Amino acid sequence: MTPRRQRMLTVALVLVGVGLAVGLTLQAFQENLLYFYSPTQALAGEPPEGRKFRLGGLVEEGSMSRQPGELKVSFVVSDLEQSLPVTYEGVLPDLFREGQGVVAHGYMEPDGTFRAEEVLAKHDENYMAPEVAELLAEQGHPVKEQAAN
Amino acid sequence: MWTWFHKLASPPHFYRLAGLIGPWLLWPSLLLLAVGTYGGLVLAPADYQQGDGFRIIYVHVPSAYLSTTIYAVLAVASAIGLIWRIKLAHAVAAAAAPIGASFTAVALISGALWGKPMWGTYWEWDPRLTSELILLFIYFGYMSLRASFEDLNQADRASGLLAVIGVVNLPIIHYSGMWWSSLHQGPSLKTLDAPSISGDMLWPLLLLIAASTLFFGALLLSRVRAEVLDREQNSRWIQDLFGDSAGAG
Amino acid sequence: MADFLAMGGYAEFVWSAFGVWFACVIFNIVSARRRMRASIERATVAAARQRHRATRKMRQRHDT
Repeated sequence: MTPRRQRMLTVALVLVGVGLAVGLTLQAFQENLLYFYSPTQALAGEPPEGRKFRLGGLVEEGSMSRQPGELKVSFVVSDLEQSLPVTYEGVLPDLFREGQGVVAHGYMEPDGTFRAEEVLAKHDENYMAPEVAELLAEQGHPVKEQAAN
Repeated sequence: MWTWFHKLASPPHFYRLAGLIGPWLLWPSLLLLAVGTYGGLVLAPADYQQGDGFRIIYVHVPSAYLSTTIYAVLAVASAIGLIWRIKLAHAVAAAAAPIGASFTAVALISGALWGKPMWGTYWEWDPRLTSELILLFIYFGYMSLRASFEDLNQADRASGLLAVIGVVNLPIIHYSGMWWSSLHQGPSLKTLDAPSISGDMLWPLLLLIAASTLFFGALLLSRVRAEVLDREQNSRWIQDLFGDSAGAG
Repeated sequence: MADFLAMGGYAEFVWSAFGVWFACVIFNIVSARRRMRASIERATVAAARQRHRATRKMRQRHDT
């Protein structure tokens, strides 16, 4: 009875110890683990100055513009509080849409725009047939807005 | 309850029972797998955003689900083996590892194949993706640690401890999307909330998850039986079972 | 049929993902089978050896 209790305690202690260590480490590196910054965080100067970082948010409706005959695009990324203009030159992923989530990797230009070198689309967890989505939109349930986080 | 448990945990009893149950898990699982695949590839409609590309969900979600579920089984079995010194529990953990590793690899590969067209990249060092990759390394570490010991009891104890420690990674995989910003979207299947996937796309997914659970059960029983045979080679019941076929040498 | 195979332009991604999945399913079945067969073989050999030893011991006891 006693040795079994002891083994149980040992296993539990090891688990608690490792869990605590990992938890504290993650806590300490929280900032480095941040995969992307929101426009609010970017404008508040949270990303390290002069370094590349990822910017995440929603592509604002109606903000995308592309010069005809060029790969250059510009759009505005917002987190529904603040927004940041982004420029990018290159091919956009299939799921890049206005109103959808996006993660851009790049840096801040002196003029306050974000220059992206890579743009990734972040999709939401909603799956439905196109007809269903249309129906929902007609009934006034904007599905796309849910991609905010 | 305890006598029943001990009887089940006795190797010859387990060996016989698992041999009986195994086929009853394997064949239904393959049938469900076929139906679910047909439902996912043919019957489910294309997604409003991702078109037919979303169908990768039907292999990605079941394999990702198996990767973490199998690890949970492995870790719990290891803990039981360490605390109660039940050899069968260690056998279960050892048998689960290669199955879990293979499905973790499939989850990573299918995720990459999904990420390329939709996100625009095969791989990102994103918290969810990285922690799933770490899970694969933990499986590999567990298996190679086992293989490095000559003595079975030592192998059981050392790898069991690694398995228990590695369980810390499971909540990290699960909550990575919530704790840190992530490229990976949130879960479509939730325990408390309605699923955010419409019914005609949902049923093949649920069917495939059920099928893969049964499939894992069948594989696990078969592999634990093999483990038990190897461990009990010199015991009486194995001689009784296999002595006749070899003839009097 | 061609439409189905084209998967709306995602053919290479969808089919490779399903291919990897089914390869994994089959691999698991085959390797579990193979493992079982190897263990049965080892058990049979061990049982035969044991029996051999037992009979020899008995014979020795007879002889002396």
